[in-house]
Amino acid sequence: MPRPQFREEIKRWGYLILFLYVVLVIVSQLYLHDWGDRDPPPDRDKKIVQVDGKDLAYLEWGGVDRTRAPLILLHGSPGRGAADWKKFGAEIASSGRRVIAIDRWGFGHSERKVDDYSFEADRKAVIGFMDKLGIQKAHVGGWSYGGGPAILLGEMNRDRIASVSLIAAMGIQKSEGSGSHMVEHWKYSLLYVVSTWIPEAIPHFGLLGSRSAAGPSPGTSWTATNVASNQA
Amino acid sequence: MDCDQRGLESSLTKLEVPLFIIHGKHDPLIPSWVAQEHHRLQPRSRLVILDGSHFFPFGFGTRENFAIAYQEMSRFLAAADRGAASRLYGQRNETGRKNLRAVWNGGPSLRGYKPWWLVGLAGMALGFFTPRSGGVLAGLAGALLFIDFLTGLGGVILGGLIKRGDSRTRFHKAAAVVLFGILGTIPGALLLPVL
Repeated sequence: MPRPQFREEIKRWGYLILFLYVVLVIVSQLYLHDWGDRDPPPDRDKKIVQVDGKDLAYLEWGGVDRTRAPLILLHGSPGRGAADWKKFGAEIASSGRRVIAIDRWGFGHSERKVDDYSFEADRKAVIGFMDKLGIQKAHVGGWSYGGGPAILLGEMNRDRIASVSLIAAMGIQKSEGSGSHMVEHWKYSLLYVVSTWIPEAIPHFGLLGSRSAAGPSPGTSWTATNVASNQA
Repeated sequence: MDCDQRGLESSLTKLEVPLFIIHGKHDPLIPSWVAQEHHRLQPRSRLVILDGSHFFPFGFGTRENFAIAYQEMSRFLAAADRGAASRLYGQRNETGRKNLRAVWNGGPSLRGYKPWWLVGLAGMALGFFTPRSGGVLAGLAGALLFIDFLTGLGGVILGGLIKRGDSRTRFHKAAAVVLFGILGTIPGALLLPVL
């Protein structure tokens, strides 16, 4: 047992460390409140259209050969959005085909905060985007999470979609971790709490990502999206 | 729901447009049996399995595999443009590496779907009798994609918790299971590319 004097010393240091920790957390929270939600750096290659009154950003490659139907690529989650396709999109476009990769809602340079981040919202965004650009028919390809909206597009918009490509994509419920919708939601609700609350108690000054990226608007980040889907 | 997958199976079976499926055999996030299942559910599709992980479209992995991916897809899109995608329906394996094959020809593989309650119950039994070894096994089996890691680990933790003991030892036991589970994933992750 340490001597009483030594114990007092430890206690004092403990209080000092606790005090410093609380100060750091408060300063970090104030910093995040004012400067935490930074926009991603601008991307000169990105173009932006208004779909349903909201910004929808996209990247585009090729397009010399207008006889080929364009290909619209849907990225996964988490990720950098459309930029994930820079290599693959450019290769597919080398045949002259027009290849477009969009930033789904909440990603890249598209609208961050929307009411709905579902597969269905992504499906509507693609159709709205095609209308806006005057694309009558297009192929659609989804990587990972992007497989969900791609399958819906193929089923519900067969007059507008020439083909569906599933590229390492998710799909059936059975493939999702435990395979059960209920268990997955329990699991990821728990992980959601861990992944959004613990960063709040760490004075990270934005180094663990901005709050909107972990935060209350679902779908904006890997953490939030993971509540509903553990797969990228 | 944000991304409710429950309706996708029926959407897939109802699909009338040509379907192209390409998947990495060593995908740790979405196992390749999923792509095979999608192909089975919608036979009007072309399935290509290559020696890649989940991130092959990013160009991670060999240049050869990346080339297979975009060339195969370009070919399918061109055929679909001509209305001739059906000529490409079927499966093509672009992989020479070993993997855990189906238990019998055309049957389920060890990496196939396992019911969550079965994984949970097995985990609970292990957690009740031997929580630490149970944690390691859950980590190992999870990293090798035999089971869902978190479901297995959750079972082991629960199994350990239902055994008598004061709350302090229970907490220590749960923490130990998590730690041993994470440790178990290390040899699993190292073995994954070999198997």
